[in-house]
Amino acid sequence: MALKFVTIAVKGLKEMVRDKGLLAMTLLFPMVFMLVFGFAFGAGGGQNSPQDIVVLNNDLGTSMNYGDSELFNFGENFTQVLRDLKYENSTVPMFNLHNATGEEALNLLMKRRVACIVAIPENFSEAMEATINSTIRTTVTSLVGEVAISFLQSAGGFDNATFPGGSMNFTLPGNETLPALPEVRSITATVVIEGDMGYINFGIAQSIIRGVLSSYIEAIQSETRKQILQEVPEEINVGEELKPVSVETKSVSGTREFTAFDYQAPGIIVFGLLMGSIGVAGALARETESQTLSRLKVSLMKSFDLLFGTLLPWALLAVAQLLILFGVALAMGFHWVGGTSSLLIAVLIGCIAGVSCVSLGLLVAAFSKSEGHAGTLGMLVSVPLSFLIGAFFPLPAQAEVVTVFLPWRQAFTALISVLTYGASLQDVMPNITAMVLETAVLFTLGVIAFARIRLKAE
Amino acid sequence: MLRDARLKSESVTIETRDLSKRYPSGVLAVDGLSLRVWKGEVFGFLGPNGAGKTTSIKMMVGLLKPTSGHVLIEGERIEAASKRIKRSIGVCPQDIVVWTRLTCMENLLVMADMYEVPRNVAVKRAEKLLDDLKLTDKRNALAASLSGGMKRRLNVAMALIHDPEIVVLDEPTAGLDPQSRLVVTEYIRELKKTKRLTVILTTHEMEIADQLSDRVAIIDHGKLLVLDTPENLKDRVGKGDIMEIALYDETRNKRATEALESMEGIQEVNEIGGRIVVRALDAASKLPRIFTLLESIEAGVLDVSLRRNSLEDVFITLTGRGLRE
Repeated sequence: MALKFVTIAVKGLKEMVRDKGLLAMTLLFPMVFMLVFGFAFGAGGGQNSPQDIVVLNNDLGTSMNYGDSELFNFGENFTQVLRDLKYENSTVPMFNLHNATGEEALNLLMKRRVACIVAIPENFSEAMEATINSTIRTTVTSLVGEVAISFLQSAGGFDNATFPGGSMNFTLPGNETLPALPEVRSITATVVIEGDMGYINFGIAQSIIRGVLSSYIEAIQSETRKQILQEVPEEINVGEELKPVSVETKSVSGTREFTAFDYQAPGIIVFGLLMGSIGVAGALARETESQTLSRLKVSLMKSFDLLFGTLLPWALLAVAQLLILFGVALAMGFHWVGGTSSLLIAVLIGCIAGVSCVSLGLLVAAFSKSEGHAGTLGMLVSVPLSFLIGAFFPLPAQAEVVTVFLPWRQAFTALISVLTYGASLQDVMPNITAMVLETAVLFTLGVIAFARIRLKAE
Repeated sequence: MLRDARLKSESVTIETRDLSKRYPSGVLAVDGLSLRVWKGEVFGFLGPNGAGKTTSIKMMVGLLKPTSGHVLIEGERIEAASKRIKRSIGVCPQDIVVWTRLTCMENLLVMADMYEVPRNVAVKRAEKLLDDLKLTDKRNALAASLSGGMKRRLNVAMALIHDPEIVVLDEPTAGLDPQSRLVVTEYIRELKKTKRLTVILTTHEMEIADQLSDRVAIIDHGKLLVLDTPENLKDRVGKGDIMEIALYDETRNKRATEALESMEGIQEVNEIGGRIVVRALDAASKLPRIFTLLESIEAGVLDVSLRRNSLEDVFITLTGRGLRE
C-alpha cells in the first residue's frame, strides 16, 4: 500500500508531464524572459547613444622645443577631441564627458553611471612630444637618405654635392654640417581605460577610445611630417617610428566580467520559480473545479497527503526550471563564478524557493474556484512580486527593507551571491536560514488557508 | 447469510434527521429531510432536477455542511465519522469526476490508495471492475480519450474500488447512450443481487428507480413527498393503465380534459407538458369511447400511447407536474 502523499505526488507528476501545454508554458515563459534580457543586457544591444565617461586628465603638459616653445597640454587637447566626437553622419556625440574627481569617478563607475574612466597620465604630453620628435627624425632621415642617394648618383660623388635642405641646417659628409635633429626621449605614457570588462557599454566605449587615441597620434604625426616638408614623396618609405603612448585597459576590482545580465539572470530564475506558483494554484484549482477534490475529500486522505503530495512534483519542477534557466543564462553570456559546488548550492536554494512558491500557490488556490481564476490571480500576485524582489531591476533601499521578509528576495540574493560572485554555502547561510523560516511560515499559512477553505465540508 | 440476517433485522445504515440546507444565495435546497436507509437495500431518491437530491446526497457523505439537522451513518455523525465509516462509503458523483490525464487503471489505483487498499488487492479489483463495466480494452487509455459513456462507467468504478458497504450513485445513468445505460443498470442490479450493498440511487428516471429500488423516496423543492416501495407508491395513486393523448390543437386540451374527467370509468385526468394523461382501469377497452368523446368536442387526436402505471405517475399525482419539467 503506497503512502497517500506519494500517490498524490506521482499522480501530480504524471499529470504535469502529460499536460504538455502547461509544462511548456511553465518552462518556456521564463525562458523567453531570460532570452530577451540576455539579448538586451548581455550579448548586445548597442546603439548610437552617447557613452557616459569620465576623463581624468593628469597631464602636466610640455614646452615644445619647436616654434614658440609655449606650454602645451596634449591631454587637454585629446579630451577636447573626445568631447567633440560625433557618430558618423549623425549629430549625436559619441561621448558624454562627466566632470569628476578620481574618487567620484570610481563611484560613478561602480553605479554604472559611466561606462569607463579614461586616465591620461602626467607624462602624456612628453610622450606626445617624443612621438613628434620620433616622427621628425624618421621622416628627415628617410628623406635625406632618398635625396642624398639621388643627388650623389647625379653628381658623381660626395665631394661635389651640395644638399638643398638648408632649413634643416645640416651639411653632408665631406666638410658639410650634419642636421640638428631633435632628441627622442625614451619615454612611455600609458593611458588607462578603467571599467567592467564584461559590461557592454564599457566594451563599446573603450574600443572607440582606443581607436580615437590611435587616430589622434596618427594625425599629430601626419601634421608633423607636413610641417617638415610641404609634400612627402609617396615613394619615400617612412621607417618604423617609436610609439611612446600606449593604452592599457584596467578592470575595476570585484566587478570583473560583471554585466547587468549577470545581475538579472538570478532574478529571472526566481521569476521562473514564481511562475511555478501559478502552476500549483492551477493544478489545485483544477482539482476543485473538476470535483476530483471532492472525491479525495470523502476518502481517507488527509490535508497533509494532498498538500505535501502536490508540493513534491512542483519542487522537482522548480529544480528543473532552475537548471534549464541557468543553462539558458550561460548560453546568453551569464558569467558563472564558482564551480559545481556553487551549482549544487543554487539547486538547494531553488528547492527551498520552489517550496515557497508551492506555498504561495496553495494560498492562491485557496481563493480560486477555477483553473482560470487561479491563473489570473496567480499572475496578479507573482509578477508584481518578481518586480518587488528586484528580479528585473535593482530596488531602492527602502523597498529592500520590506522585501527581506519574502523568501524569494532571499533566494534572489543568495543566487546572485553564489552564481555571480562565487559565494560559499557559509556566505549564503543567513539567506538560506531566512528562506527556510519564511517558507515554513508561508507553507503553514498556505496549508491552513487551503485546508479551511477547500478541504472542509462547504 | 450474516448479511441476510442483518438485512432482515432492518438495521439503519443512514439516517437523516430534520436535514436542511440553505445556500448563501438564500435558496433552500433541502427542507427538513428525515429518512432512514436500511442496510442492504437499494434506496431510490427520485425527484425532478433541482429537487434537492444531490444536495441531500452531498450532506449524507459529508461534502456539504447542513444548515440544520444532521446525518448519522451507522449511528456516527458524518462530520466526525471514523475511518471505518469513511471507508464504508463509496461515492459516484453526478458529474463525471475522473483525472483526465490518468489512465483508467491509474484512476482506479489512485482511489484505491486513498482508501488504503493493498496494491495487489487493488489491481485485481480494478481489473474486475473494468471487466464488469466493459472497460478492459481501455485499461491503459487516458480518461480524456474515453467517450462520455465510458467516462461515466469509470466514474462508477471509482466509487467501488475500495469495496464499500454503502454506495451512493448520484444520477449514474445521466446522459448515457442506451448501451452504457444498460451496462450500468445491469451492474447495479448485479451489485444488489450478489453483494447486498446498501445503494442510494438518485435519479429522475422513474423506470430505473422502479426496476432497481427496494424503496423510493420522492422529493420536490427539498421536501420529502413520499417514501415507500415502488409497488406501494404506485398502488397509492391507484391502479390502472396510463394513456397519454396529444391533440392537434393544444388549445383544446383544457376542454378535452374537462370532458374526459366526466366520463365514466376514468379515474384521473391531468394535462402534463401539453399532453393529456388519463389513468383508467383497462384503458384499452375505453379507447373507442374516448375517441368518440374527443371527436364530439372537435379535439383531433394527433398521438396516443398506452402504458402501465409508473413512479412518474405517482409524482404527477403528488405534484401535478412531470418529473422532467
